[in-house]
Amino acid sequence: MAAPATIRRFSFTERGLHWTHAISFLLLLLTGCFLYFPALSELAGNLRIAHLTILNVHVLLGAFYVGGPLLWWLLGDRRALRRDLRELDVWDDDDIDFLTAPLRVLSERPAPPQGRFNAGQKINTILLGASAIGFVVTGLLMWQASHVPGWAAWAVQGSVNVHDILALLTAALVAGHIYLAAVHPSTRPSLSGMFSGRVDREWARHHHPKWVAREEAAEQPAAEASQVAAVAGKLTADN
Amino acid sequence: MTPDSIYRPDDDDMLYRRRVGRKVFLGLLGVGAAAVATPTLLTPLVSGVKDSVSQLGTPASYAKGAISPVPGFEIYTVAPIPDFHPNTWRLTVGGLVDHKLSLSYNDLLHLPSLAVVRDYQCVTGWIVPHCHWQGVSLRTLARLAGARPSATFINFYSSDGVYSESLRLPSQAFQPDVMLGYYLNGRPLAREQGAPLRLVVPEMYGYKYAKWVNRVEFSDRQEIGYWEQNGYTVDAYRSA
Repeated sequence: MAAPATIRRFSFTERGLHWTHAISFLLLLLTGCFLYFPALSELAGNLRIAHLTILNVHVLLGAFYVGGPLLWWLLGDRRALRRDLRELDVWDDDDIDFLTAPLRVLSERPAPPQGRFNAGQKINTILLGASAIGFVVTGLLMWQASHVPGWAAWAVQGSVNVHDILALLTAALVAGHIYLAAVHPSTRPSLSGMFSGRVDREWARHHHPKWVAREEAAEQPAAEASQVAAVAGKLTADN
Repeated sequence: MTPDSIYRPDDDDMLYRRRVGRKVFLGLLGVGAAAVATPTLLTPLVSGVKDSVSQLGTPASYAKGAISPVPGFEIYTVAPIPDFHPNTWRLTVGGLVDHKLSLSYNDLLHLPSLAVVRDYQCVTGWIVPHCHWQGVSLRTLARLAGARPSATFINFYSSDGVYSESLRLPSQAFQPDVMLGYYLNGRPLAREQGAPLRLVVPEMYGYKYAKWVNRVEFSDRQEIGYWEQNGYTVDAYRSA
């Protein structure tokens, strides 16, 4: 029986967490622009959305930005998420080679074989994850300091700095992420993985060979596997 | 279709694996925490970016509020208008002083006050004549806080987190008509007009009248204010 044309890459929980976080981020970036650029805040003027100021909305979205993923962790498939964390944590030689070769995406040279997440994706996730923490902490410090004068006043300037810098960095990272996921020809087949959960198997065999090989080894019917084991056992016995 | 990279599953056993991801993550959090705690290096960079960003948009005015609470004024801001909560708002007075102060709105209203009637002139040309300002003179604050002789400037900081202004001490700050004002034409300042407190310097142009002032520092260094960083003069005496 031939293998199906697609292979499952992301579970419902993983996709749900991704989209909750991603949509929150984009809305935070949008409201953030209206808070940061004087020309835009002039345009907004006294605009209220359901009696909330743009700042109120921004802070509320901040809650979804980290609270959302937290809910997915508590209520969703934790096993899948723990596997994600493990894969992000463990880097092998191929990952390091992948990262140290410059302009990997733009060159046509073959890449070192990668797993379900390539090293670039691992770095991106770690950077955006750390940035999320950074945003929320600095955001809370600024928000509370403006409501309770004197509270954490020492941290306000530093928080403004880090929040601003993180906004620039993450905007650039996410722009690159969206480009690779949705536009760049050799990588955009990955996008279906975040919608249906499945990606083209042959594409994945090319770009994430270590993952596909492991999945296909697991997919082998049990009978076939035991047959292989029996032959292998006979061979060693004969030695 | 043969993949470009020839992958043999046995190769995996030869690969050295390391738990790096969590270390990078925690390292980044550490760098972030350090950056929050030590703003001195990053602040000039961040302010520089903000200033160039502010150049985008209309040259003359940056943010006009929808309503002018006192007729005749145009409202300009450079950051979102801060909220004023009378119960928790404090004016902090610090720097080169013997006693740092933290005054509530109520405290301010009960200090010896000063009143002047002067024209308000914006550097862009418009004038609001006969503004009745009431507030606390800087002499009073200096006396209360025990300002030291080494202080040659007073720097004023807005709770919008962006705007600041400064005056020379004593030549500018102790002029008889200079104050931190909380009433305009007999009424508390409107939110858009700097509630609850703004610097009032009738000899100078309106951009010296920093709004939403909640921090005052006596210093031997002059903090160059928002508009001065954008090319406007520090000693903004009216010429008309």
